[in-house]
Amino acid sequence: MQKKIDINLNITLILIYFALIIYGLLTLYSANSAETISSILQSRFYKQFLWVILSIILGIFVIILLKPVDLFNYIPLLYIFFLLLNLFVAFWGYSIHGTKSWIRIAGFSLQPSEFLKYSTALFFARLVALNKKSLNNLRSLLITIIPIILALISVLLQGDMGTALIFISFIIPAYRFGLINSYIAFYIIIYGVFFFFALKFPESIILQIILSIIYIFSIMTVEKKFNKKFFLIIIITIITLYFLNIVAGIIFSLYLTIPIGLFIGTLIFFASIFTNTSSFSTYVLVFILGIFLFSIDIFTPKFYSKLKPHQKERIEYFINPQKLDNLSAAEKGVGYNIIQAKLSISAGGFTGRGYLKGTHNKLKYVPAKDTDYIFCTVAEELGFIGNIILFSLFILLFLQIIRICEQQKSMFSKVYGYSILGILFFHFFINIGSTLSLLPVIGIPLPFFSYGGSATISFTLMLSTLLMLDTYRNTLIEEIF
Amino acid sequence: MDKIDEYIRYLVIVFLIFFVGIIFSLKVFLEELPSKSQKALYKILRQNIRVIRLYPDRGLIFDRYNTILVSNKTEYNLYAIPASVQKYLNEQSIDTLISLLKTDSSEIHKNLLKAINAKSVLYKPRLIAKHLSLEQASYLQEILYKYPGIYLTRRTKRFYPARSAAHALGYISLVDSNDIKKDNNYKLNDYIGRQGLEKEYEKFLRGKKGVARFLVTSNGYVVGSYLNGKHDTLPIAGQNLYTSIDLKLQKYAEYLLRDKPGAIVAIEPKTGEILAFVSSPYYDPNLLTGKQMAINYRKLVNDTLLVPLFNRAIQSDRNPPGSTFKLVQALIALQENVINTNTIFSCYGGFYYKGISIKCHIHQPVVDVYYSIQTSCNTYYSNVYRKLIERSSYTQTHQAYQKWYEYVYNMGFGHKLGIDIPSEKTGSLPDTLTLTISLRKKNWGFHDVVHMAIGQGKIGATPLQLANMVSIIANRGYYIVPHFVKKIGDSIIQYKKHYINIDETNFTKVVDAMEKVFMPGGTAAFSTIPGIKACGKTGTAQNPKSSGKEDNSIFVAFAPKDNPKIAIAVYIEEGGPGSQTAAPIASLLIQKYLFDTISTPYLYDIRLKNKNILEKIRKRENAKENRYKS
Repeated sequence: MQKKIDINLNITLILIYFALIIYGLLTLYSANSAETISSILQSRFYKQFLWVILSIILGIFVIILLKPVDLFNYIPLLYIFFLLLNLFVAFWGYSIHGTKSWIRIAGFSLQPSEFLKYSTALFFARLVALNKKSLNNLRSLLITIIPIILALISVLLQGDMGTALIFISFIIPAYRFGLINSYIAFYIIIYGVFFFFALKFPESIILQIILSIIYIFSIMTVEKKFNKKFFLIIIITIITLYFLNIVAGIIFSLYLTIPIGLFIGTLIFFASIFTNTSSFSTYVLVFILGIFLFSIDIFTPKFYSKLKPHQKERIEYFINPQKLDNLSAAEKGVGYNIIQAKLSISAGGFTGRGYLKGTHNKLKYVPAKDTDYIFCTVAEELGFIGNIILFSLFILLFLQIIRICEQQKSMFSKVYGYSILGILFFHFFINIGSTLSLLPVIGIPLPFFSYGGSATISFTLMLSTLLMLDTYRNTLIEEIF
Repeated sequence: MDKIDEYIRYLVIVFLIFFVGIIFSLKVFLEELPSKSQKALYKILRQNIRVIRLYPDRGLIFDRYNTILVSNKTEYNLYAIPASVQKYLNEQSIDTLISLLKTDSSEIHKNLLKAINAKSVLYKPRLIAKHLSLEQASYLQEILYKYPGIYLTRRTKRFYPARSAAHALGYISLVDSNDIKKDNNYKLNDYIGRQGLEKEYEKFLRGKKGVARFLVTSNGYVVGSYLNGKHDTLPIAGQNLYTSIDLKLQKYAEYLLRDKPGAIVAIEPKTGEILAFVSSPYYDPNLLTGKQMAINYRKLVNDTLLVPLFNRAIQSDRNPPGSTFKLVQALIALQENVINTNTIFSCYGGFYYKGISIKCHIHQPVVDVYYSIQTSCNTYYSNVYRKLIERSSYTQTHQAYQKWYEYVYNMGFGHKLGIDIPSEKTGSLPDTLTLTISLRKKNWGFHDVVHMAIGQGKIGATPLQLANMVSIIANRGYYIVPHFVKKIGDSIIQYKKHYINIDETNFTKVVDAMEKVFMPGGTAAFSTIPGIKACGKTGTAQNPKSSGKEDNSIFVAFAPKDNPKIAIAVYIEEGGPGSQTAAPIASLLIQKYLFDTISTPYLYDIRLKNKNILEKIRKRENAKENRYKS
């Protein structure tokens, strides 16, 4: 094996990385510029700067010193170490803002779940690469999914909903490499869009009808043969659905269109995985679907009532923003934060109020101004232009990752690349979506922007590992990995 | 998996990325549209920036020797911003805060509760407590860091160290909605001059407010000034007023009037500067400042019997000038050549004409113009007035009356003189038309207006007008509008001379006659001022017999005769004949002003000391009330 770093190192990705990390540092500096601190050494900007330096050093080490074979062999160990560490943290960890996901070492707070993302991506890629010949059978599929589910559970035990959501991002590599029926992806996207509109306008009948139509077409995708029996079952299911919806609406004053729509999508997603074959199994599937619908109609209100008050608030304010008026500052809670974040984004206008000249974020009117809501600082100070630059940088990053992935011959590198694409993209999507109130508020950092040492190191490691694998792309033969 | 399927999956992922990017861009674009962003920015700045008004010190007011009449005392107001306070205060924790204030708590409690329970206007500071002393404020300042969103602002309240000249100085009070509408310089909780000099010179006294803007965190902590204070302004103190009041004389005049209702106006004739200006009953101007203002004001307003807020010196325009008006009559008659120094009318105790009888008191029967003034002969002036006015036909009578009216008008009667404090009244002096209307007949004649000959009847004059009249005589033919303010800040104010179309020789004759008033045989002989030639004239205005009131005592005077330095009018309600009360007061005041010592203290002891007219009026009124009750 011969190393040709000078030829194969992807400079574009490195440039995008540095653009993002510098943009991030500048924003973080501005967001914290009104803090009263005794010296710059105590400022969060300075700490983050040190983390970035450390990340870059680690990244360089990975690119130069790490060899793919060593990495490949140590992946299981790495994964198990971080999984156990996360389970340990979930029970004996250190709690910040209600999530028990921190350990303190020598004055630093570390978040092992950030590294779990990285190691899970590696482990997933390794498993897919090893099982690639028999991916269509259930056993190998389960083998690839189980580490993700274990990671997800360990994070859920910590009470960290945001990070748990990130593990769903493995849908993207799974889809790309044929683990899921390709048409289903379209429906998931369409469901996503309608899910959004349904949340915003829950009482609209037209949306319910559209959702029903999507339901019919989704099932028809699964079963291409069309007969009367099948049609009858569909009609019965829809009628039951509407009936239950109305009853639930009266009893619990909660419109179930949203959970139902969401659930149908999920069911079809799973159904499509298992069914490629007989029509009998399709009938069974539709029947099971009905049972699930019935049970979710009953359980959703109970589930909803078990949510924590601030979680309920987030969903309520997302569905019905008008509720936010007519409340005093003390009563607003989460809603108050949503309003302030929105205001600071709007106030930016086209060109923003000028770098370091924003006030609303700095003065802490916006919550988590330098972590989850750091986008608000960009919006307030640099306006629409600053936002578009930020979006463009991220989209360029994603496209460049995809480009690198498509160039790989090794399955392991490909799957790993798509896995970190999924992770980064989900971070971007959920963070900005929450900030722009396109999604209910879910706390999750914006890669390279939000303050946090573990995340910065983890994201840098993800990219540098991809870069390292990319340098070996000509020497890595498909059979080995 | 075939190649096409793989390609589709690749495209779907790329599409997803672009789709999310476009949705986000669109959403951001919609959020940051100019119309929306302006509104949001405004809302943000209202929260982030605390605007603190810096109140200027109101201009000071000095007397003619630069003794301070009105100064300022520092006090503090306590404000709270609901949005900040709501985060940590509730109905229980209010009490600990209030206990720290060490002051009357019910109102503060009420205001704080309002702030805590507010649902709208959360970022506008609300006034919690007013009139906190420096002590309370400095104590509070130390603990307020624990209560973000609550802060103090410095104010000043008026302080009147001299405790004097209330009616001239006036007072200030909080602006009302009308004031704010009229002048956008005013904001809620500003002060505005309401009466006297405070109102008249409001624009100069008030100064200019400053503004300081601070950046405030969401917890209510101040972290610095907005834009390094680029748009902040310092308050500009109001301009000082330098008045002509002689505080010593003013206080002495107030001392003499402390138990008598009435008014005193003393003027320096040459300049029109007012030396003393008293309306009695008066009040301590400090009553109308600070915390107790509302209560005290109500008390003063509710005193309908003595009406202390009524400025008798410029507002009591129904009071007839009485015999002091004979000076005017003499001047006009001499100027019109109706009489000369040789003209003689005889007086046998009264004037009788067409059923009218005007009584006169006992004096020598042969009266010329000098003697008429010296003894204040009613008969003489009734005849003079008849000669002035009566002609063969009524049209000529009217013309003659109108001519006479113009003379009197020019001497400052029947219109506002334009003194530099508000609420001046015109006095009453009917012209031909007004008389025709009020008498309800066209062909009225001398017998209808005969009482005006001796300053009774339809004529009324304020003490200021009387003082002005006597200063015209002192100046021998001109006057300058009486005024208080000589200098605003550094700029001296020029006042215009008003000339009277009466010859100086005629003035000389009247002045000679007035001198005799203080001489033996004159009406004010008892009040004579040793060592100086003073000129004066008594007056006695009758009150209706049925009211049970004594006559009003009037005296006008100036001194010294040549080169007069002070002209004075004294009007004492129910003081009896002019020689009894008003003349001694005038005499004492002239001595006080010219010599600073009183060489005739017996005047006070005999005539003024045991004459508590205010007490008398109160007793009479109480008796009346008791009668009604029983």
